[in-house]
Amino acid sequence: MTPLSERFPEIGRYAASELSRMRVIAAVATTVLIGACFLSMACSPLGSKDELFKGAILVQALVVLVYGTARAAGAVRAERQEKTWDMQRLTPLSSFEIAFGKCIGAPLFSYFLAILMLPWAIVGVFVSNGAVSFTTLLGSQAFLAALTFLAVSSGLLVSSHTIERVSKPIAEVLGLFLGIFAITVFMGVVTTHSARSHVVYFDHDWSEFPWLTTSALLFGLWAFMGANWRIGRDLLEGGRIWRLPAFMAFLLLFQAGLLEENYHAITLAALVLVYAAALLNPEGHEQWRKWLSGKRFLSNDIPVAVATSLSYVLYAAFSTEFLLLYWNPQNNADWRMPLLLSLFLVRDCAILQGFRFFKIRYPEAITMIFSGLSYALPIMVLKSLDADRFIYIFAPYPDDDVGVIRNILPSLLQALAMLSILLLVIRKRFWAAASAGCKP
Amino acid sequence: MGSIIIEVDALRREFDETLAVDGVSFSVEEGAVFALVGPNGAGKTTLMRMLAALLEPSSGTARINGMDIREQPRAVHSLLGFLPDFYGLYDELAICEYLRFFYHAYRLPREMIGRRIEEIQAHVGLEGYGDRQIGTLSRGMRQKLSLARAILHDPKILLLDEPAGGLDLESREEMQALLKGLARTGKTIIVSSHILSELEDYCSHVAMMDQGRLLFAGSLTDARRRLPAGRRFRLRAAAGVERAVLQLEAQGGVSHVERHGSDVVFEFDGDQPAVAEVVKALVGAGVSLTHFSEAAGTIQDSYNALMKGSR
Repeated sequence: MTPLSERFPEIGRYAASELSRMRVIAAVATTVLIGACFLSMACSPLGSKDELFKGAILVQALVVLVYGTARAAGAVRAERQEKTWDMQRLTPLSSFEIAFGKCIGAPLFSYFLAILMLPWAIVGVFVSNGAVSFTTLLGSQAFLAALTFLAVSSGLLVSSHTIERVSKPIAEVLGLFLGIFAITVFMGVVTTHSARSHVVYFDHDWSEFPWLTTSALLFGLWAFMGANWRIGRDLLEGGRIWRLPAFMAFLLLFQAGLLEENYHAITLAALVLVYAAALLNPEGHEQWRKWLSGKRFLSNDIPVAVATSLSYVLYAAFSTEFLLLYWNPQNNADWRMPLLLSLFLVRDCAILQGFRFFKIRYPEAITMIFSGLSYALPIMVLKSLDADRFIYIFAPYPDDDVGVIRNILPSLLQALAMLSILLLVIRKRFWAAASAGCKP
Repeated sequence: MGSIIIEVDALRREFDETLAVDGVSFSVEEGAVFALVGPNGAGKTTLMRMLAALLEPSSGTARINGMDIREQPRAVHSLLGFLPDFYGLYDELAICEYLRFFYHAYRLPREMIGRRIEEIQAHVGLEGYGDRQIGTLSRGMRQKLSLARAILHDPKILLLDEPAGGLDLESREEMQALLKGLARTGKTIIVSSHILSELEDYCSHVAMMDQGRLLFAGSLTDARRRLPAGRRFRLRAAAGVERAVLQLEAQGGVSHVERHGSDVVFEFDGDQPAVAEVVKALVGAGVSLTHFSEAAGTIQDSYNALMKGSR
C-alpha cells in the first residue's frame, strides 16, 4: 500500500486486481514488441521517419482513451450490479475519495500500458531526424493526459448515472463512443499539428496544444464534478445540484470565444449530454414524491430529467441572446436553433417521465424509439410529398422562410401539451395520494 | 440491558405503488440481540436497509445512538456493521486484499492493520486462507468473509440480514456459533432470519413482521405470553398411546391433539384441578404414563399464533 492508495483505497483495490504479475509481464512484453515493430518501420528506407513517434502515441491514445474510458464507464455500474456498492457506501469514504479513486483505479492497466509506451515515443523523437520536436512530444503528452482526464471523467459520469435497471449496453456503448470520439480528436490534432498551429479565441491567437489542453482539463473537471455529485447522492451526502447549471454558464462563456461556425456543434454536444443524463436516471414515483414533498425546488432530490432540462432551457435562452447580439453576422434564422432544441428536449423529457409513471417496461428504450420516430417519420412523409416547408413543425429546424413565432410555435405547443399531460399525471398520482395520507 | 440505542419511529417505505414497510415503530436497548422475523416480503430487508441509512424512508425516521438516519446518514454508517442478504464481495481479490481494502476504507489506524486482519480472520474461522481468491470460496466462507467485513471496524451495532440464508447445515451451525459469540461481546445486534429455532438460543428480543406491518416487538418472555389461551401439554407413554389419543379427543376442553411417536402434544383450556382430572382419566384408560408436563411456548409458536391472527 502506498500513501496514495491508503488515501484512496479504491486505487489499491484496482491495483490488486488489475496489476497481477502475469499481466504486468505480458504488458511489458507486448509494448516492447509493438515498439520494436514501429522502430523497424521507421528505420526502413521506405518508412516515414516519424513512424515510431506516431505509432507510440497512437497506442498510448488507444489504450487510455478507448480501453480506459470503457473501464471508467463501467466502474460504478458494475459495483451496483455486483451489489458491492452498498458496502462502499457504508464506509466513511467521501464521494470525492471514491470518484477520484475510480478515475485513477478503474483504467489503471491502461495507464500502465501508456507509460510503457512513453520511452518508445521519446526514441521516436530521436529517430525522426527533426520531423518531431520535443515540444511536440511534451505538448502531445500533456494534451493526451488532459484528454484522458476528460474521457475517463466523462466515462465515470455516465457510469455514476447508470442505474442497474437501465440496460448495461447503454453505458458501455456511451463509454466506447466517448473513447472513440476522444481518440479521433486527439489524433486529428496531433497529426495536423505544426509549430504554427493556433486557435483563434476571443479574437486572440492561442497556441494549439496549451489551449486544447486547458479546455480539456476544464471540461474534464466539470465531468468529474458531475460524477462526484451523483456518487455523493448515493452516499446521501446532500450536495446541491448546481454543477450542471454552472457548467451550462461555463459552456456559454467558452462558446462565446469561438468562431461563429462552431456554436452549433457545442449546442448539440450539450444536448446529447442532457439527453444521456435524463435517460440514464430512471427516477420513478419515489424520487418525484421526495422532491415534491420537499421544501426546496432546487434540492438534491430534484429529478435529473428536470434539472437537466431546466439547465438546458436556461442555456438556450442565454445562447439565443448571444446569437442575436454577437454571433449572427449572416442574419439568418440559425439563432432560433438553441430555443427549438430546448423546446423539443422538454417535450421528450416529459414523454420519458410519462412512460416511467405509467410503468411501461423499458421506458427509456420506448422513449428513444418514440422520439426517434416522432422526428423521422414526419420528415420522411413530408419529403416524399415534397412538402419540406412544414418540417419545422416536427423537428428543430430554423426555417429562414417563416417568421419567428410561426417557427417556434409548433414546438412550444408540443412541449406545453406534453408538460400539461405530465402535470395531470403528477396531480393524480402525488397530490391525490398526498390527500389520502401517503404524503410524508 | 442498557439505554435505548435504536429508536424506530413510524418508519414507512414505498416503492412506487408498493408499500414495503408500513409505519413501523419499536426500540432496541443497548446490548440486546433483536430477532426480526417474518415471511418473505414482510419488509425485513427494507427495514434493515433503512436502519443502515442505505435507503431513505418515505416517511418516519429512526435514531441510531441518537443520530437521525435521515439527517446524519454518514454518521450512522460509521456506527454499524451491516451484513446484507447478498455477499457483495470482489471476486477477483484475495481475502487479505479485500479486508485490507475495507480496513483503509474504514480509516482504521494503519499501524494495526496486520494484527487486526489476522485477528478478524481467526475470529470468523478464515485463518490460513488469506491468499485464497474470493471467487473460489464456498458459500459458507463467503458469508464468513462478509461477516468479517461487517465487524472489521468493531461497530457498536450489527445489522445482520439472513446471515444463515442459503448455507448448508454445517455452515449454518458455524455461523450460529459466530453469532452467539458476537452476542456475548455486548454488541447490539438486529438479526433477521427464517429459522426461528436458531434465533431462540441467543436472542433477547423479537420483532415479528408481516406485509410491512409490525405485529409484535418485545422481549422473548413477552412473545411467549402472546401464546393462545390454551396451554400446551406433552405426555409420553410406555404403552397405550392410541388409547391416550382417543381419551384426549373425547375429553372436554382438549384440542389440537398431535401424536409424535410415543409422545402426544395437546392443548387444554382448563385449571390445575382439571389437568389432574385429565391425568387421572388417562391412567384410568390404561395409558402407562412415563412423562407429563406443560410444554413451554417457542418463538415459532408465538410467531405462528400471531401470523394466524394477522391474516
